[in-house]
Amino acid sequence: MSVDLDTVRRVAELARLQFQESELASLAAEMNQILSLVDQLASADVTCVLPLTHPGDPQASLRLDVAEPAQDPQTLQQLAPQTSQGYYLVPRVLE
Amino acid sequence: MSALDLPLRDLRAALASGQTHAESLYLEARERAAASAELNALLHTCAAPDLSRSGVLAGIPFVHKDNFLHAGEATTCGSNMLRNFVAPFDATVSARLRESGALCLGKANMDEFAMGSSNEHSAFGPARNPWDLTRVPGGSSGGSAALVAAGVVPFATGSDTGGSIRQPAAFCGVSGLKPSYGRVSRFGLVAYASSLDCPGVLARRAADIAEVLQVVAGHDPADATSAEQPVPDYCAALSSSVHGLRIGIPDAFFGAGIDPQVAELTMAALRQLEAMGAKLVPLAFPEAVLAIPSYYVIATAEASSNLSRFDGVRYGHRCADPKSLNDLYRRSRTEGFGAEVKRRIMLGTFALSAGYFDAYYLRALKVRRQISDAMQRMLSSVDVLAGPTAPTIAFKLGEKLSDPVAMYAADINTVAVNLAGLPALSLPCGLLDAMPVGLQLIGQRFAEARLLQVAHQYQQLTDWHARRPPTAAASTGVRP
Repeated sequence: MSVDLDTVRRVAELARLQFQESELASLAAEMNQILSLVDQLASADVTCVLPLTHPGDPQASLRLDVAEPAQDPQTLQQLAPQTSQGYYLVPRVLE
Repeated sequence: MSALDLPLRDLRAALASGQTHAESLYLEARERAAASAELNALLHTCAAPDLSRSGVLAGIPFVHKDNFLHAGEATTCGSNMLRNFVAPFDATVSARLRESGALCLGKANMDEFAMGSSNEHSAFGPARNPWDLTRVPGGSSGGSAALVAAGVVPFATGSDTGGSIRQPAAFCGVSGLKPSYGRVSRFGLVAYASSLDCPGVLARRAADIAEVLQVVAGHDPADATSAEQPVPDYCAALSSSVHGLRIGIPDAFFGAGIDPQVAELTMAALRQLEAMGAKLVPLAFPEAVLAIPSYYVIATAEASSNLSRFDGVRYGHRCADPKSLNDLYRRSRTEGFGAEVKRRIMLGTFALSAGYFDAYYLRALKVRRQISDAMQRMLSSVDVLAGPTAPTIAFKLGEKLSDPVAMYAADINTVAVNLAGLPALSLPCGLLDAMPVGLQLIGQRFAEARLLQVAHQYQQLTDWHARRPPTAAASTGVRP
């Protein structure tokens, strides 16, 4: 399978990344080079094989339903580029 | 010989007896770091640690890969996205090392968000291989491997998603352990691909790794994927002989793409283990041919999801004067991420997108099960699997930078281990053109003690792990 420039534009939109028009052709070429490697997956017979999402056999472990101290919101908000009165600031969404 | 060059066990004894002191060790490690500045392996020096703390690693300096949160210290992940980020809390690995009294000297250079096999994808420039400054140290834990190899610190942390501890360990001539998935908590390790990421340790000797693993291993309620498996005494197991040990040799580990001279040196090491009483068992591993395709779909898919958190809102880089929420997301991410990270996010997003999910992501997960089952099958008939860690010696800086597929091929013998969640260790087993070659040992899940034992026994009879690169010899006064 190979991707064309329109597909690369659409995937970039989904990934919230932007590329100059001049970068798109080389990005598409790189993606196609990698996809030709990945396309070897088509050669596998995976009939009746269940997907393995996680190694081992993860068990949900139980714990007591007791509140534990969480991170201090103020400490975490100090990492934010813009905050005001305990809120994270973003550009206006509704006009 | 400086106390800094002693095995960890002897170093602990020297500290306990007063032959050496935490302060002098720490200062010497800083001096060595300064003398090794040309490696570009240390991104930041941490604030002076508490030298009075007691614990099993008290007074022993180490470097931390820069994707572990270490409270109060910069954690950049080698990215402009986190150039100004200061960790607000400790990763569990950091907390356990801090409690043990180990002294964090600084944070080590790495490929951006651990995506790379050469350390060239760091926003802060590539780390260099101390054996030859024109070559890469490997990646993504390249800074950690280079600093241990150069003798700056006795051990370093690393993380391994597809070979990121073992391949740099092989390239730099040190020992590196990727534990079983779930053996060491991922809490506070910045996520790349959550079903593959594994924190681990690099040191000169397997016995040193055993000492550090003892401190960092074990269940952590803060990481639901950490295993509730008891932690054995790793040091106690080291002294057992390898007599009667069955070592499986999967054909694929010596197949296409492996430098014949690397294969030859690896086989010589295995024959040495045979002479020590181990039995070599040839095995077929045809499923390995799809390990890289499966890995690069799963890893990029998980990365595209994990890295969606970098949105310019809560932490990390934020673009100037955003016009809308989408503009904020797009420009912050585009400015903050480097080329390889963007490439992997694009691939992962594509593999997860409507119309392609079944053909790529779902299929890769099914192939992952086949690879995992094949490895379990092999390990049901032998104690460990073995082969070359990397297909070649460390390559030249820039040699593979413009060819992502050639770069991904450097992981040919390491990624299957992550897909299956198994433990694996790389140890130095020879020199080719004056560059180190690594032997990889793979074990059953939670059989880290077995890998450390085999590596330790090999290191009792060989001195490849004791060879030092010329740059380290110059800065530490130790002969190569």
